[in-house]
Amino acid sequence: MLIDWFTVAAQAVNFLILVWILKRFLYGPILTAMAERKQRVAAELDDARIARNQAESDAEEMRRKLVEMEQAGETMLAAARRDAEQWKTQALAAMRVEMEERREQWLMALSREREVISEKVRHRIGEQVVRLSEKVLRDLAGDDLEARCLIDFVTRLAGADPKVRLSGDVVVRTGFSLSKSVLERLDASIREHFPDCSEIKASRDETLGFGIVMVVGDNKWEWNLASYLDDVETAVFAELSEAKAGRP
Amino acid sequence: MMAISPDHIIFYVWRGMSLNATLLFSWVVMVLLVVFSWSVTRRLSSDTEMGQRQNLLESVVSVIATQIRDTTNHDPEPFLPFLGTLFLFIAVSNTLPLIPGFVSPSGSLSTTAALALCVFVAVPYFGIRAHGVRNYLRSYLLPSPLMLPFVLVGEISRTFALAVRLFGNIMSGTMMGAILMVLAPLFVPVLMQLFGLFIGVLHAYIFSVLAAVFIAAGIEAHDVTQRKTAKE
Repeated sequence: MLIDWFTVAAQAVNFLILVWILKRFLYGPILTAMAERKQRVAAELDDARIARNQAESDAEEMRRKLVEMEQAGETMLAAARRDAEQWKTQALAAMRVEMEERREQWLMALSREREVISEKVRHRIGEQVVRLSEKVLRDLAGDDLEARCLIDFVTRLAGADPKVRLSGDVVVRTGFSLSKSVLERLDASIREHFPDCSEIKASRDETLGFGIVMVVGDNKWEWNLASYLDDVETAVFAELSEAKAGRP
Repeated sequence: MMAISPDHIIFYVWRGMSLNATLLFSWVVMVLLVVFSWSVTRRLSSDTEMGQRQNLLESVVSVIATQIRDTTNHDPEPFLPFLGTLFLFIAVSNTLPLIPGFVSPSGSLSTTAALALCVFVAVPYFGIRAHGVRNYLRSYLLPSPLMLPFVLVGEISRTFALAVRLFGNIMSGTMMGAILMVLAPLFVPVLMQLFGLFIGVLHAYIFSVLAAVFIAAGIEAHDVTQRKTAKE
């Protein structure tokens, strides 16, 4: 017979025992280990997902901050450019003002220097004119000229307004010597114009240069070439100043 | 004269109970499976780093669980010890004959009958576990109590077919190997043993899948019956 029922029963028991043992030593532990690994992997995946989300969030935050920093940088750069432009404009304006002031100062200094130089030139011109005039007069001076000067001095004194009324002794001092003829003409002229005069005294005073001093009582009249030339010089300077004022 | 069944190879007899090759080599297979499993699972690692033997066992268990899920459309964990042990026992029994002197216990009709009886019992066991005793037994009377004999005949014939199929296939392989060994003693037995190895694993797969199908069919048939009853 192909089937041995004792063997069948024994094999069924064997199989059931094997099922129980393998469930105890194979399937249970293996399934538990696989479940634990699955949970661990799932937990690690969750952690990785959380970490990834965190990393993405951080990356997004960093990108946002980077954009903000770039924008802030551009804003700061624009502000710096604006400030620099403003400073440049102000500096240029200040520089222009300063340059203008310096130019004005320079021009004023230049003007002053020019005036000083002009003044010196004018002064020298005047001095040269007077010196030249004095030289010319001295070179040309002679009895005739000295007599003319004396006569003219007396004539002008007589023609002064109010009318000079002289009486008493007349003292005449000249810086140059008077010849006899000149003295006579002087005496005649004084007596013509001032008939109340009593005595006429003439003397020489070299300190007067080419000049004349006439003293009558308490009155004294004086003329000399130096003072005359001073008047001339004053007139020349006045003419030069007017010429400078009229210059553009 | 070759023995057609390892039941006939008797080593010891005590009070009418004989220790034959079927029982002896079944124990060998059981010891191998248990010792290997114990040696691996006593130092299991739930980390991603693991040993090769643990990896092998996890792969085997995972493949079996996947096949059970695909076949039954149920969570494989309740069926895994029974169906997984069925597959491993038959596969190892059919593979070890490559070792000279080892006789496959599945070549015994007693073994296949025992396994078929276990499946025969497992079908109502899982059905009752899923639906309860009352609901499960009531399903035998549906749609009509008159159908009860046919249902019972169907259950028994299914178990018988399962047993005879495995026995016939394993025995036929053994018979063909013996016949070819006589005809061509040098080359053909090697090829036949390789072929037998393939056939052995294939039959382990077929037996396990059929058992899974029967168990799932038993559960789902009662599901359908219960739904119809609930509608009525």
